Amino acid sequence: MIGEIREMYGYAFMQHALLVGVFGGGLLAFLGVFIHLRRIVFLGAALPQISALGISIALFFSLAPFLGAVVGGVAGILLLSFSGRPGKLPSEGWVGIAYATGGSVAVVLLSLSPNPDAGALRLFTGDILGANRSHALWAIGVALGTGLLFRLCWSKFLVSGFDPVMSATLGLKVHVWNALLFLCLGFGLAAVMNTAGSMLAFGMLIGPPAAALMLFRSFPAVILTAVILGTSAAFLGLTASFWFDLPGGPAMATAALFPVLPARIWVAIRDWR
Amino acid sequence: MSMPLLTLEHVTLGYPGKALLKNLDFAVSRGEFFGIVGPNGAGKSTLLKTLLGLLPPLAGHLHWPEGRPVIGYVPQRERVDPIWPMRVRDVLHHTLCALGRPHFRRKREHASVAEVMAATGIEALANQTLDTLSGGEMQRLLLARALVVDPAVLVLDEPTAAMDLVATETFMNMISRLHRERGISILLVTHDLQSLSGRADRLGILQSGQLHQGSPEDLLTSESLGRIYGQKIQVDTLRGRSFIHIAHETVSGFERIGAGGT
Repeated sequence: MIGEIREMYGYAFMQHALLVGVFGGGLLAFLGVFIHLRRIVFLGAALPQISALGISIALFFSLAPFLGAVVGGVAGILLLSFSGRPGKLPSEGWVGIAYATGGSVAVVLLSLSPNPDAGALRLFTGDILGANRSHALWAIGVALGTGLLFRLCWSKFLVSGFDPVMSATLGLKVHVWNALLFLCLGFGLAAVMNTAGSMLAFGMLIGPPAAALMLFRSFPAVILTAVILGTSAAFLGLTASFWFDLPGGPAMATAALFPVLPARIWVAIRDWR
Repeated sequence: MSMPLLTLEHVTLGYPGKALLKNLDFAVSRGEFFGIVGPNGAGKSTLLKTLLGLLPPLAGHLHWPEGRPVIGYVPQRERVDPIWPMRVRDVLHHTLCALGRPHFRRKREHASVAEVMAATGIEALANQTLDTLSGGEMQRLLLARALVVDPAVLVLDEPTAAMDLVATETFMNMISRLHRERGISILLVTHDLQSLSGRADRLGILQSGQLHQGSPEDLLTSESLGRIYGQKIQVDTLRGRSFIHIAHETVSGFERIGAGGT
């Protein structure tokens, strides 16, 4: 079996897909911990949709889809983070509007684009086996850059998210730390969305951190578990997709979401005891 | 009291198009314990946000004569989300680290954290996570977090809201002790006028857009409170503490001011 896996990952396209999945998935699983703790999970669902809209606009105008993913993701984050509450509509309402608009307009634009079927596949189920060297390098670069930024400024990210008012009182630029977190998220989504689709992006953002938060009550353990679950899901999902001829993105997303169930069962047993 | 730590001159507070408090004038001296009391909607939170520098005044001048000091802010405990997987010790440690002060070397950092945990009586909780703390313990952690940055002034936002009587007394006694022993200036906003009695150096009562200021001895009388609140109020004094009751027109007897707002 080891030999077969070795042979499988001997192909360059599989190596690229694995690197995108492992680094992009691990990064989104890491950032997803903050998405859960800040109670903005719905934002995590809307952002891949907005990123998809960016890709569909790029495809419509025959531009590089990757550029669309980056611009769409970052613009969506800036729009949703700093728009306030115009008309006193709760912020969740605006996130919902962005989710629905992103998805529906993306499909409309794709139907008008030169190659609608390939575009739709790319956006929602992903085409991770189409990842190339530059996709892989981008995913590695964003993951390592984000890791380094958080390593250097860990307490600032933590404190500004945990209690923004107190942080502002102490002179921390909360909006700057929020913007940096969301920018990392935007770039991370772009790295994954362009090849692996919105399903995988949202699955990685939600599944591994949810399981980690249920299992552990210490920050280092939660982060480590989320990243391990995210990267393992990428490897297992990609391997399964190759073996059983499954679509790569959904297979990895399923693997990312699977640990939630045993974690929930474990919590129920722990609480019962 | 020494020179003013903070002065407000003809300050109007609120949001664009909606002034909540107009022409406020008051000063807080270094080392003073200033208690601000008011019902819901009186503008307490708006005043607090302005003092913390989070909301600029609509008009007038807010001035820190010696420069803005380090402010230790103690929010209501409901403002802090216990789902964050942090231990008590981590909250204090990261607060210090987030400030990024180069002189806070590791050893000194540990000493600061240990010292504030001892001062607030939470040493035994050091390794407990937030979701395991009671309301009173969480509030003491928030006090410790405010103290760990070595503040010149402590600003507390209804710290005893939803606390039982014993926890309220314990917490308020701790604040009094910190004020007495460390000389920290205290600005405490609360519903509960009675909890400030015998503790605050000076009081401000927000009522109908006005801030009525004075010493507790002057303000905590039946006449003064009756005039401010426009109701018949009874004040009993026992061992230096005032016990305040408001006459209820439909129910016989008296109610304590502040149980749920006046």
